[in-house]
Amino acid sequence: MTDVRVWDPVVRIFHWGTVFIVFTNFFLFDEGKVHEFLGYVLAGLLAVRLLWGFVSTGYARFANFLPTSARLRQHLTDIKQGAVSVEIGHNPVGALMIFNLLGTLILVCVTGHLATTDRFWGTEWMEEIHEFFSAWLMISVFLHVGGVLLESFRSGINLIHAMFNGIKRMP
Amino acid sequence: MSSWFKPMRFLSFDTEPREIRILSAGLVLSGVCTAFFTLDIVSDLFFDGYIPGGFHLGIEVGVVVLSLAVLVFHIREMRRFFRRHRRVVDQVRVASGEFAEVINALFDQWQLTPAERDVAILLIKGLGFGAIAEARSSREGTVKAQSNAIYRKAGVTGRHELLALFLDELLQDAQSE
Repeated sequence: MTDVRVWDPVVRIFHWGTVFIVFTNFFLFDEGKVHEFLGYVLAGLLAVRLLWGFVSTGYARFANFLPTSARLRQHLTDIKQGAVSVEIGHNPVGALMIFNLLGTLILVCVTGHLATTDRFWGTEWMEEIHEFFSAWLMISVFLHVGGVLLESFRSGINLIHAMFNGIKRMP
Repeated sequence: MSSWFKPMRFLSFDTEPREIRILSAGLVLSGVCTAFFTLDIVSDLFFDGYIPGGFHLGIEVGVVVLSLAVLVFHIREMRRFFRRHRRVVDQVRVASGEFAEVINALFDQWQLTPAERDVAILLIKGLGFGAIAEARSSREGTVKAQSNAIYRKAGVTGRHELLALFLDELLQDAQSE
């Protein structure tokens, strides 16, 4: 049993802040002032997280969890053969989902903002694109949570707990 | 060390290597930025009559929240760094202090005279007879005689074996760690 400090406060606050805003904006306020304000807060959070992905060291740095095809293939064969490869940071498949989520969040924020501008006033299609990406975001969130649960059982490391206190308890 | 860093001493470090300066500078910088954005939000809300909502304030709130997280992270990392740094410095100090004690203990055991102790230290440090004589302002012949007395008392045949004795002590310490 060794405890490894993996997720710094920036990653954790970004994660749970995003969770809160995405769910509030999807289910509670699907339009209006609060929706827009929270959307902009999310854009601010995203901006710092993206910057942090380039300037920080350790597991928050994008370069340290880039899912290369070699790493992806290795991980998938491990899963198929039932071998448990222990990853301290993101596993390669998880990392793919992280980049998908970050990219989708950016698109949701940008299209959401554009829909409010004068340029697209009176048109519906920008809002429809916004809704399309939101739907994709929710599908991704569903898969993300499923993957986290699956990987927690497979590896025996409580990944959800690690996102709360930042510490992975390695077996 | 420039004097404007002196207030950082509350973080308790007694040496100031490059890493600490960089960390401190980064901390001050991110602190100033976070403070600036926070003040901006406050002034927007209370003095310029911004309505909570909209582009400007929203993004700012998001940025400030994560900037605070960066600040927390930074302070904690610095603390951890100082603690580790201090521990290593202490360990080195203890190790070198202990080696000096080992040397003194051996000298006591061999019952060296004060003059012989000085010569022995210089011998271990690798100085030649000429240099030792010069350092102690005595003659080379005297130093040679003192050296022979040291070798005899230590039970070794020459300088190499004397050095080997101390090296052995050092290696034993390293292995028992």
